[in-house]
Amino acid sequence: MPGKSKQKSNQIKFLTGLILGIIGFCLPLFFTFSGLSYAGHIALGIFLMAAVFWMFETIPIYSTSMLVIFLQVVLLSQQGVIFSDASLPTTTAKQHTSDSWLVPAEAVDGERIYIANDSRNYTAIDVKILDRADWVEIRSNELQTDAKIVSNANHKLVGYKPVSFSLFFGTLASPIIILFLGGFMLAGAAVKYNLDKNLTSVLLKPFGTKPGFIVLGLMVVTATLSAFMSNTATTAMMMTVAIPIVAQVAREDKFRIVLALCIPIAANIGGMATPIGTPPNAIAIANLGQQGINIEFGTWVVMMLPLVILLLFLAWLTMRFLFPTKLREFKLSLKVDFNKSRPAIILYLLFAATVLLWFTESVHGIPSSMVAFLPIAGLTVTGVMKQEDIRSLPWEVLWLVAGGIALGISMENTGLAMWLVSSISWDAFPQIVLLGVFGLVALNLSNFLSNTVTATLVIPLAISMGTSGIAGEGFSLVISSLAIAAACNMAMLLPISTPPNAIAMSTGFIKTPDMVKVGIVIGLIGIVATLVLSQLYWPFIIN
Amino acid sequence: MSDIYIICVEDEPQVLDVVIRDLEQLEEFFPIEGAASANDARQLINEIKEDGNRIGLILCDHIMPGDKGVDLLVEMQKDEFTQSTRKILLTGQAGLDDTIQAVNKARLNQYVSKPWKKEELLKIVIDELTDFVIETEDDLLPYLSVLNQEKLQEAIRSKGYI
Amino acid sequence: MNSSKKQGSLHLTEESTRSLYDKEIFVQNINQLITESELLKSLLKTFEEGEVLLEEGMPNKTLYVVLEGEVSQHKEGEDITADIGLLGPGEFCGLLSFQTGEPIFITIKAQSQVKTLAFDHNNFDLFYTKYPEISRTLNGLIFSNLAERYRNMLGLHLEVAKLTRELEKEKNQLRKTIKELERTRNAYISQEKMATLGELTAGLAHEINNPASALLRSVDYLSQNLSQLVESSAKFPSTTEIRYFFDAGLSREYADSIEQRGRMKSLAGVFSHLQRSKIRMVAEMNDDLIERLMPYSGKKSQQELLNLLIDAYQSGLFLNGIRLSTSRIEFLVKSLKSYSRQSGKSPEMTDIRNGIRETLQILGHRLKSVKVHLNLEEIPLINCFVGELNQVWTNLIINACDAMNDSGNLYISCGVNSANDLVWVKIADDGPGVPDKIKKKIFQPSFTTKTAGGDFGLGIGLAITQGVIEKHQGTISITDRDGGGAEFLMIFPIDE
Repeated sequence: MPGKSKQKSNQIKFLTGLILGIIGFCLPLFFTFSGLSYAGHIALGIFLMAAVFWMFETIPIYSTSMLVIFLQVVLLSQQGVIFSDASLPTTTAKQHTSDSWLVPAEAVDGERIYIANDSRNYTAIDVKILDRADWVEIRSNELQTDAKIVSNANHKLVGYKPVSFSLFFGTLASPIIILFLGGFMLAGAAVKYNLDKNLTSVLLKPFGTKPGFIVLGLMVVTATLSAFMSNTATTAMMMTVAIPIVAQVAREDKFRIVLALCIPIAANIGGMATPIGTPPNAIAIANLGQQGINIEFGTWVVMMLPLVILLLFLAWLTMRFLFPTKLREFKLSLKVDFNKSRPAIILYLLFAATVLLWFTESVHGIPSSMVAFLPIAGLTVTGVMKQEDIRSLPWEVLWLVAGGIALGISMENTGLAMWLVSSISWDAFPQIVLLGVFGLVALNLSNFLSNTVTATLVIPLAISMGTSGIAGEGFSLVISSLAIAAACNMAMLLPISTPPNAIAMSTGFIKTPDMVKVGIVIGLIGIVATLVLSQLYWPFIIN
Repeated sequence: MSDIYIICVEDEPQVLDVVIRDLEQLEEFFPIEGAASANDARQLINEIKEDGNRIGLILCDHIMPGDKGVDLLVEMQKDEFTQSTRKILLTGQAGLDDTIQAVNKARLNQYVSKPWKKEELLKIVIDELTDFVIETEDDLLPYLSVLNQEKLQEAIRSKGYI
Repeated sequence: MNSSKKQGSLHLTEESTRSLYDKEIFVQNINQLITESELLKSLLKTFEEGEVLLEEGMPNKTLYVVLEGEVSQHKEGEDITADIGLLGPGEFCGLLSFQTGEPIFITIKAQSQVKTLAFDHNNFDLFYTKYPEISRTLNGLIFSNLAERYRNMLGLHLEVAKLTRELEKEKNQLRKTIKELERTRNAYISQEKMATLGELTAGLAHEINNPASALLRSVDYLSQNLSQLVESSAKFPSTTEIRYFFDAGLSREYADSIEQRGRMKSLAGVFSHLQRSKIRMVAEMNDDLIERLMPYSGKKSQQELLNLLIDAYQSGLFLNGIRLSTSRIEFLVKSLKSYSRQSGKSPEMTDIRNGIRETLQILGHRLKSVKVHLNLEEIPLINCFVGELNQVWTNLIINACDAMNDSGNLYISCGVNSANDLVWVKIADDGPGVPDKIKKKIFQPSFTTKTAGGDFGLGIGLAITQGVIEKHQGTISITDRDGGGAEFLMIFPIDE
């Protein structure tokens, strides 16, 4: 049977993922890592398991996200099984001399002890260790008689302040998710009323009949649409435009390769252009949001657009060079047939209004996620989107992003992210090298993993490096997050890198090496271009 | 992942040979099985069911010893396992009554008359399988290179996932 | 005469003479005279009902004048008696024969009690001389009676002419109707024939389309396969092996499809890197061939050679298919040709069993699920119209198939009687049979048990069948088959 060997390898992959995932989850329970809080260990277990499951796709990636949220609620929330009835163990420090005190050895954490304010909260104070025995003699000015100190510095409540479970659940309704939902609604309605197809026809017309320009046209249109719609849906739609062309091109003409390849590349690149373009953007924005940094819709576009244009042009040139076309001229048959029904008109108006409001946030100050509720409410109230349309929205993507955001929260507040990055003294490196490392790591991971998953795993690390000061002076959270998100989206080396690549590959018109050649150029030059922008352009926009 | 089978039912072995040969290029994705009669086909369907696989398409002659092709198709339409199977009648002759019955009771998808042209038969089979795959499969990518691309891309577009 | 009164054209003349020679007045006058005259009183003669006054063919001596009651007149024809009509008071009976002496022309009978004056020649002359005034009236009456008779005769002539004309018209009408009926009957018969023809062509389409499809597609593949085979066979060290597989394919026997599936499953393990379609071919092979393939099974490097051998086998297979399909088509066309042979003007001496066999061949599509039990004994040739008898077999076999819903047993047998002067043919089925009530009318035109708008025919198939058989001086009858179903028995005489 044709599928047998594939089935077998799938099974091996599944079992490997499952076993590694479980090992990853259990590892922190059996090993204690110094410098990592108790909760940090739990978070590490969840992190490792999620990373393995995401990498091996042992279970669908969105269900891994759901599992993450479930485990966080059960294990890490204030109401969960571990922390619901936890209280700090306390003891009283014995006054030894006039300025020295005796405390139990377990109560000392390096050169710190913790004074218990109540059963859950404590204050850390620095002490001077005078003598170590069963009881440690310390000196501190902050200690007073009868002060309750935390008797066990390794207690689970030390180093982690449990948060309410609703915080984890709430990620699904976080502003960035709502922003995405708004985008989904617009995209779903656009597909329903063929707005995407008609826009394509209109936009492709000016590009004429020269094969080179047709390709450029296809790329520009694809990138534009994928900035607002899902990259996958855009790719599939544009493929329906490209397939009739391919059918008329001679089998040995490399123009076939270009046609099939330009669309997924443009879709991947186009996704960078707006916050709602692809989920990694959402992860970046959500993580920045945790730090109280708000990125406006328009600001994102202004920052990313030069990169998008550059990469599109670069990809176009690369393909022209690698796959020269024999065809001299090609006439596209484009049908424009805008739906003029009432719901379609409502959609056009709402689409225009929403996009306008997104780009003018700096003028009116309404956050983009609030604007996103305009199409959500507008399209349903007017009946443009019906029950079955809403059901068919890609809800699992929202869960995927929500799980990523939730994982980021725990990595941050259990100190896991900090612990992971603190092992290397990063401040020894110049900023640009740090950014470069992050970019390359993200690019490489993302070539094999889902872009969203990569962003979920990498961006929290960068953020905690910035907040903790490990990265040193001048490390910008915004620039690093954007750079990583961009790097995630530039990964288009392999068919498995992104769904658009998979679609293009499945058409059978291209071979993996074709994709790899273009992918390498875009990835490497993309990272360089990102670094250049991060130094010369982005700082001016942020300020 | 279960296999999607194509079943050809035809009592004349030479004809069965060429039908299967015509569809050969699909075999890499859709294993093809032949049956010489309706009874044979029933047994085959059962085996495929027990192996946990599915039947995407049946290409069936009408006039055969034993039960007629249309009877088999009607029966398949009533069975949940084969209800979504695309049903094609490939026959030199079926009376109007039988054909009406096939359309009404078996939801016959296509009628191909003998003798056929390979390209026509392939196109019909590919189109029907495309519909089957769109209806029943979540991941359409594996089928892009063998089935009707445009239809599949259209389906991916309207499914609209990221 | 009564009937003359109804003749409108003569009515006027009669009215005008009435005052002169009125019969009523004459009878009144006579009656008056009778009371006064002894002579007349002696002439009075009364007849009872049914008594004959005058008899046809006898000489006549008496002239009767009816005074009361009515008499009937009859004329004996060759084989019928014509009723001429009644005579009432004032009318004369036997006037012509009395005056001319010829034999009595018409028999006259009393219809009721009749009172008459009976004159013989003497009395008549006496009456004339004795009552001259009345005699004048009598003369007038006699003449007017004669004139009336003449008029009536003319009227009758006219009436006959008119009747003849109407009769001619009716005759023409009848002729036309008969012609029309004939036309309708012919139309029905040709419609029935067309229906049978439709059934036959549809069946033939299926019968020929199957091998034609196999033929067309096989030729396609063979032309592809062969060129590849020739090209790549150079790579193979020995062409005898290729030849061996080709020949094996050529003489392949078709395997049971379920068994073959089992083989495919087990072979898929052995020839693991072969495509599924190739494995299907391998599964067709016998153990000897598979044994010969074994050396090439494991290694991927040998795969090209393995494919070559399988292709050779498949080429043989397709060639075999072409051979079978071609001979099948040839056979069908031959059968059709002799089946549909136009029967000449005169019958020919034929073995009717050939026609039965050809009919079965052509109706093959209807008989896929029907088991045919043929028991055709040696029989002498009979003088017949082959095409028409084929129509009979076709009708009866299709009828049987319809009755059995196309699945069951069909029994066909034939033989000679012991006297060696009759050939019989039996066509029977094990369907539901024919109820006795229906058996009687089954050969009548327009009788059918098929539902309205059914498959074919107008229900005169069996009528035609009977017609054809009668044309051959044969008989057809229907009985119940032993063990259920209907049996048609046909008997044909053997001409010397």
